Amino acid sequence: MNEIDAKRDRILKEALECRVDLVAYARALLGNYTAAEDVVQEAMLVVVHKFEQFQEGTSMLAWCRTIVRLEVLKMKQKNQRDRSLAERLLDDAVDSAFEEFQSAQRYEADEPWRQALENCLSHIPDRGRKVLKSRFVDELSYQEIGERVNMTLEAVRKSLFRIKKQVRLCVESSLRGIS
Amino acid sequence: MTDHQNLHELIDRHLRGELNEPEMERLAEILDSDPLARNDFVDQARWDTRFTEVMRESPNSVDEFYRSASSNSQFQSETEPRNKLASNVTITKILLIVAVVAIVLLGKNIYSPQPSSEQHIAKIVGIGGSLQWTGNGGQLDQNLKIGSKLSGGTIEGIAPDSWFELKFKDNSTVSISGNSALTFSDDGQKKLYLKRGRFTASVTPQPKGKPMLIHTQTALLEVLGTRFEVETTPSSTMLDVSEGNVRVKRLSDGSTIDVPAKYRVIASAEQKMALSPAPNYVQYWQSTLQKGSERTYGKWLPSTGQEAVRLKAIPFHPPNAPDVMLYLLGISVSRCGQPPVLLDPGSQFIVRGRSSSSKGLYFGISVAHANGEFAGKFLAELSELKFGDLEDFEVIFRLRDFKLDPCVYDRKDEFPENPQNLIVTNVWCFTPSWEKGHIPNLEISEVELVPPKTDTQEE
Repeated sequence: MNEIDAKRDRILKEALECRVDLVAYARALLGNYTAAEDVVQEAMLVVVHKFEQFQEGTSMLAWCRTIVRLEVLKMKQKNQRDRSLAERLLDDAVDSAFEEFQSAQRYEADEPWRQALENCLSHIPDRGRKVLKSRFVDELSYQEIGERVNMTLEAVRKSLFRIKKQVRLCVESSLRGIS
Repeated sequence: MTDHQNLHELIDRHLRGELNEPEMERLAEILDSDPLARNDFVDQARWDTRFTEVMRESPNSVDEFYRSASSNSQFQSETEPRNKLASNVTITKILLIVAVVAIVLLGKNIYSPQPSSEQHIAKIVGIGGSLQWTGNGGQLDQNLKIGSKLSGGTIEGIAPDSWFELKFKDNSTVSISGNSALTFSDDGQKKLYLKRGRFTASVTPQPKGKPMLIHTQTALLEVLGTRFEVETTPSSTMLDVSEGNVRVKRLSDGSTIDVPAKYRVIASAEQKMALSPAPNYVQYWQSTLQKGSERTYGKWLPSTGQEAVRLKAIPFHPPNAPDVMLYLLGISVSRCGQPPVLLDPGSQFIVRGRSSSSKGLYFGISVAHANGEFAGKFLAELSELKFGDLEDFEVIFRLRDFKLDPCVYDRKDEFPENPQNLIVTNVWCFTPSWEKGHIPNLEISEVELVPPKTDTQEE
C-alpha cells in the first residue's frame, strides 16, 4: 500500500467514525432516516474521491458535514419541486444548530450501549414497547399508532415522550455505572 | 404539555418529515432565537438516530428484548447470539460503504456535480467586502461578481465591511450591509427573510394580491411598492419608511399597523407597537461595548478588574486577496430605536485601544443616504503607526482623511467622493499581517464620533 492509499484509508476510517453524527445531520435536513443513510453513503464516496482536500488538523466532522449538506441538497433537487421558503429557513436553522453544537464525540462502544438499551427496554410495559416499535421501526404517525394500540392521540404523544425519556435516562445511568 | 415537551415533539416529528409549513416556520423561529433549543435539537437528533439504528438493526428487537429479559435464566444465553447479530449488521453496513467505495475506486467516477438548472430571478448590481451566497441547489460561492445572475438563496455578509445589492427582474432592488443575512425567493411573489442585520429596499409596484413579504424573527412586512429600511435583532424589528406605505404584522400577537412615509415603527413583544416620526439625526455617537457583543465582529473580551471591555480583532482572509491576512474587528453604529448618526464635515472619530502591530492601523466606515440607500465605504489609514509590545493608543481620524474604499472603486461614479453629510452605519478597524508567523494584537475599547465645536480631545 503506497502513501496515498494509506492516507485515503485513514481519512475514510476517520470519516466512518462520524457516521452516526452524519446520519443524524442528514436526517435533520431530510426528515427521513433511510434517505439520510443513502446520503451518507454517497458522501463517503465523495470523501474517498476528495480525501486530498481534507486539511489535516481541521475537524473531520465539519468537513464531512459540508459534503453531506451538498449531497442532501442534490437529493432534494433531484426528488422534489422547489423547496418552500419555510423549508429553506428551517434547513438554514438546522444547519446553524449543527454547526454550533455538533462536535466530534466518541460514542460509547456499541455493545455496552446495546446491552444497556436492552436492559432498560425490559422495564417498559408491553404497550409502551409497541408504541416505541411503531414509531422507530415502522415509522407510524401518532394517529396510526393510536389506532394500532387503541390509544387516543394525546395519550400516544404523552406516552412516547415519557417512555423515550425513561429509556434515555436509564441507558445513560447504566453506562455511567459501567464506566 | 410543557414547552419542553412541545419542542421535543416538534423535533421528533421533524425528524420524520411530518411537519407542515407553519410548523416548519415555528421550529425555524425557535431554533433561530434560542441557543438552548438549538442544543436540544442537535442532541435529540443524535440520540434519536442512534436509537433508531439499534431498533432497526434487529427488526423484532423490542419484542425480543422483552422476551429475553422476562426470563432471567434465559437472558444471558439468548442475548449473546443476537447481540452479535446486531453488531454484525452495523459492521455489514460500514463494510457495504467500504465495498461501494472500493468499486468506485476501480474506475467509476460517480461524483460529478450537475450544473444548476434553476431559474435566475435577480442579478447582482453592487458588491463589496466579503460575502457568501448559498443557492437553493446548494452551490456555495464566495466569488460573486457584478452582473452574476442568481436563483433564490441566502446571501450573507461575513465581515463588517460587507455590502451587496441585488436587482430583481422588475427592477426592485434590495441591499444588505455588514454582518447581515438575507434569504430571498421569487415565484411570482417575492419572499425575503432577514435573519440578522439590516437591509434597505426600493420596491417597484408589485402584482395585485402579491405584495413583497419580508419575514424577520419578530415581524412580517407586506410591501406593495416603496422605499424603506429594515433592521432586525433577535427581539425586535425596526422599520423606517421613506416613500410609500408598508404594513407590519407583529408575530407575537398578530397585531398590524400601516407605516406611512417618514415614519418609523418598532415591532417587539416588549413594547407597544406605535408609529413615531422618523427621528432626527444625531451627530455624536459612542460605542457601547460594555453592554455586550451584540452587533460586533471580533472577539468580545469582558471587563476584568483592571481592564475595560474590549473587542479583539480576529484573523480574516479577504476573498479577493487570499494571500493577505487581516486582523479585523467591527461595530454596528445603527441600533434599533436609536436615531441615525450623521457625519458632519468637521466630525472626527476617536479610537481608543491597544495594539502590538508594526503595520499601522486602518479605520473604515460604511455610509448610507438619508433614505437608507447604501452610499459607499470609506477608509482612513495610519500606515506609519508602529506599536511595540501591546501599547495603548488613542488616535483620531478626521472625516477629511477618509477616501473611497478600494473595494468599491468599480462603482465610484455612483458614490459621493467623501462621506460628509451621510449616515454612518458600521465602523471597522484592522491591521494587516503580511509577515508569515507574525500575529499582531489589536484591541479596541472605545470608538467615539465627535462633531465639531465641542470640547474634543483633538490635540
